Amino acid sequence: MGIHEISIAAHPMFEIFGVSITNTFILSVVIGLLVFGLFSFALKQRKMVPEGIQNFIEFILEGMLGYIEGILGDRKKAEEIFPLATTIFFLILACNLSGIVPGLGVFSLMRAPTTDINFTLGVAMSSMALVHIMAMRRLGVWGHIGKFLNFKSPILLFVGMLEGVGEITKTFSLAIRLFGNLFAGEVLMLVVHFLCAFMLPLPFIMLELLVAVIQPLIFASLIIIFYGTASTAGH
Amino acid sequence: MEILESLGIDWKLLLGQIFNFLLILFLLKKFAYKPLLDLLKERTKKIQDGIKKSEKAQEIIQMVKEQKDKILKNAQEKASEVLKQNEERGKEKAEEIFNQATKEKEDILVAAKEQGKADIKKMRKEDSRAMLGLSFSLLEKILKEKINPEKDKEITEKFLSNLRLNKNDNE
Repeated sequence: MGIHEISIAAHPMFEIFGVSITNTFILSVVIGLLVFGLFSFALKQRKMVPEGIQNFIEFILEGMLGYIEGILGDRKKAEEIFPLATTIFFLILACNLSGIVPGLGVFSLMRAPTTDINFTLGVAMSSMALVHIMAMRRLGVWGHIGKFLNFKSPILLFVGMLEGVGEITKTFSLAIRLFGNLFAGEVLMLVVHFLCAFMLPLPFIMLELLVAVIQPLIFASLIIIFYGTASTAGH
Repeated sequence: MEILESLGIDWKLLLGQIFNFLLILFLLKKFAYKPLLDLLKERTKKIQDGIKKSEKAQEIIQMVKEQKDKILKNAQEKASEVLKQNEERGKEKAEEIFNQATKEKEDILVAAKEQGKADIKKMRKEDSRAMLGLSFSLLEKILKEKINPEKDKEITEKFLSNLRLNKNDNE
């Protein structure tokens, strides 16, 4: 395995119905199932007095809810965005951490889903779409779209259209930020391992762990903030 | 569109990832987040209820305590009253008994005095009769030797008249 193998696109494993299934796609499905399995296992027997893993997961999710409420300053809004933000956070976190597991690095057999732009763009597009759908549910369809198509004055129309373009930019910036960070991290790991595979990669692994936690937090926080602005009525 | 290809963007894979993500989101929302939020709400409610209940219980305990004190106080007052009454009644009874006893004692004393007086009188009568008999026999003995029958008759009559006089005096 050498530097020359670096490619941005994921490695296709096999084809189903003319779709080439890549290694990142397979791993993203596996990780999704794992995250869902963990959560549903932890919360399967919901006891009034939590014990063991239920207590742990509840503690984390309650902390997340508190964090969202702290950003939005509104319990009801926080509960609305809570499922989306939490899913983003844990799914991306699990995907990032999978990149650090030995054997799952870039360009080997399996590769972290967050190093594939298909995954990050998919998550970003669906979450942004959901943010807008939830905003429409809150403000009414026209109440939300009216913020971007304002015919009261040409200036407001122009500003609104800029905002609309901004929403698309936000989507791509979310996707590319995550992809860029993780992909760069994996490339860095590969280079470091290539230079000296003994002891030298340790600080970089610590750095990767930090990135693996911070990136999903940024992604989720941005989605929360976007929902906060999208769910407030326009002028 | 060449940039998309060079970035590795494949529309089919992208749609697949979107579908995956939405599916996971839906499943987690249905089986993890919603039950958890409900559970949290329920728990909050339960804790609030518990706190309210404990406050109420505290109030009831306070009330019961007050009532207990009240009842105890009442009982004590009643008890002391009854005791006082009993004491008074006892005193009265004792006095009554004492008075009765005094009266009976006096009656007995009076009766005894009278009895004594009667006894003394009776004894005196008997005594004087015996003495008289004794004196007569003594006199007879003495006089038989020194006095003749005439003299004896005279003296006896004289003595008898004297005695009768004496007897009259005594009665």
